[in-house]
Amino acid sequence: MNQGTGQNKLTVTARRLRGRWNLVVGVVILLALVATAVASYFYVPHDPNRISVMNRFQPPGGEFRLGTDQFGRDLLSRIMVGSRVTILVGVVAVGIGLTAGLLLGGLAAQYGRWIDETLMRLMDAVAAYPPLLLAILFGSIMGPGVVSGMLAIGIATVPLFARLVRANFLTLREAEFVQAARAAGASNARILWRHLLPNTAAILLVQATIAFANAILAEAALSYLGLGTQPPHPSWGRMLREAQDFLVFSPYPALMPGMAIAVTVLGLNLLGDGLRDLLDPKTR
Amino acid sequence: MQVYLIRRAITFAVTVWLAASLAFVTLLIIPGNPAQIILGIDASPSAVAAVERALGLDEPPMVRYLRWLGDLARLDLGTSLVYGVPVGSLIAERLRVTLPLTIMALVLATVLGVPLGLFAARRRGSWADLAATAFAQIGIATPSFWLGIFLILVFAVNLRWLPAGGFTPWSQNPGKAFLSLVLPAFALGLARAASLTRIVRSAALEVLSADYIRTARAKGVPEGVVIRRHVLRNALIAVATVISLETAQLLAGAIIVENVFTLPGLGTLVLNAVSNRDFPLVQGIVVCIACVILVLSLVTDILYAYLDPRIRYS
Repeated sequence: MNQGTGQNKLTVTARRLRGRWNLVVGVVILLALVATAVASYFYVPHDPNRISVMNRFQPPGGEFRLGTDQFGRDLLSRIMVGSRVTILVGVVAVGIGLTAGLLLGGLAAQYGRWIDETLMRLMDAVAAYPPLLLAILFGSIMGPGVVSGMLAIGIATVPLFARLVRANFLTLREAEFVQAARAAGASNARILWRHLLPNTAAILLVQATIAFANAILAEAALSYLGLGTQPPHPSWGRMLREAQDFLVFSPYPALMPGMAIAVTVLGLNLLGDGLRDLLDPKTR
Repeated sequence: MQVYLIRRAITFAVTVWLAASLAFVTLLIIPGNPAQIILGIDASPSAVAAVERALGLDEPPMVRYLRWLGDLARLDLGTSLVYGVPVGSLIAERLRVTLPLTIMALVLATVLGVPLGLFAARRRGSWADLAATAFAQIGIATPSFWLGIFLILVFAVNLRWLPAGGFTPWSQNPGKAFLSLVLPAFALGLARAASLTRIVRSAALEVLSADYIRTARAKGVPEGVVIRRHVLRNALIAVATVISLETAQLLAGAIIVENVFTLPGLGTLVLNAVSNRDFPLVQGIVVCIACVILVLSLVTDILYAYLDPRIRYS
């Protein structure tokens, strides 16, 4: 009986996913990224920082699946370990953006008037700073590193979430079901928890996925510029920078980390699109 | 419309003030004494105190802020600690590279993105649409610096068609100056072209399903006219709105791409300033770019009102 229900659920899920190839591809890529990062704590084919002059510029295949760089370090191991930073920066930056955005957007929608006006102008001001610019500003004082990068990318994402939350809350507040709840004597906290938040979650999830992708691109750019992860810790952007000068000897040390960035960002963007299609009733 | 313009001008002024203040406040609240950072941890206290005096750090923050704001209002961005010249003139000099690069990338993005988006929308569901959508997705996901590296490898190192990096000043040889910006503009503009393709495609799809398009077709209006007069015009409204966003991305992207191609623009200037701990220079460039982005968003808003007759702000 249980097995039957399980199978039914599987069929229903499969039917829902049919035609949503972007969602499927996105989920697969995201899972692969997480699995890679987790696996890197237990197993890497080679020590990612071990220098071996004998094995410089090995092409992919054989002992080194993705080849080696200018110091003979294994590219696969370095990409695996580098994925940790990628996930960390994405999660922390989106976490900062989402938390602060919910708080500020919620406050603006709830209290309106001058609080709303002040907060939204502040958001406009922050939005004038692209993440990279903010990271450069922070990096110049705090010194380059992952922390200043994460903080800057996170803060740069706040306006996006704050505006989204404010607009959604304002629309929902006028909706009949919220008016009905209010008439029935529901408190502000209950309305927020039971109606406003659940009805904003879907759109926030979509936005968070896309913000995650942008955070990864921004972190890679920062590391490429030398403002993110510091050596010898491998990060995808930094690997690219180091490989650039040796391009004529072998393209693989630059090709592989670049592919890792592009595929991850592509996967997250596809996931975002897929989730939007799935969750937005207008496109159903 | 006039009331709208006045209101928009006031909000613009407030936002610019806030954005500029943010750069100042950031330097205040982030831990670390700039004078100590400039001199290094081994510096003697007297040397640190001297630099603090030179930078005006010995004064209360409010006094510093008001003086800084007053200077900013007179477009005085301060003096670079390393170069010893006004930050404004350094920025103006470097803009000779960054501005043409950004414009070339923007033109490339528009010339590639708009037709491709329209083309994909007209052939919705076809292989051509799929190819355009795939280009858009892959283009957005490709880091500009990665693309730049491989453009150098193929077009500069292997084919030797274009320079691998560096810049010949416009005054020396305008042709060479232009050529040295071609590959960087491609590296910078391709992701924006991809993003525009997506936006134009979805805007055009929305217009194509509108009643007035069906009416125009039913009247026997030739397809070319329908596309030019109705679809393109309405899609352009979407383009105008995203152009400010895209330009912001391009300016930020220029910082990286200039680095890949070793172009002497704003991007390399700001990075050198970071590694030299030249705070006035970093602050000046950052405030400048933020203001350009705000001006662009103002222009876009006004342009939006002109392009779309349905929008009349009051």
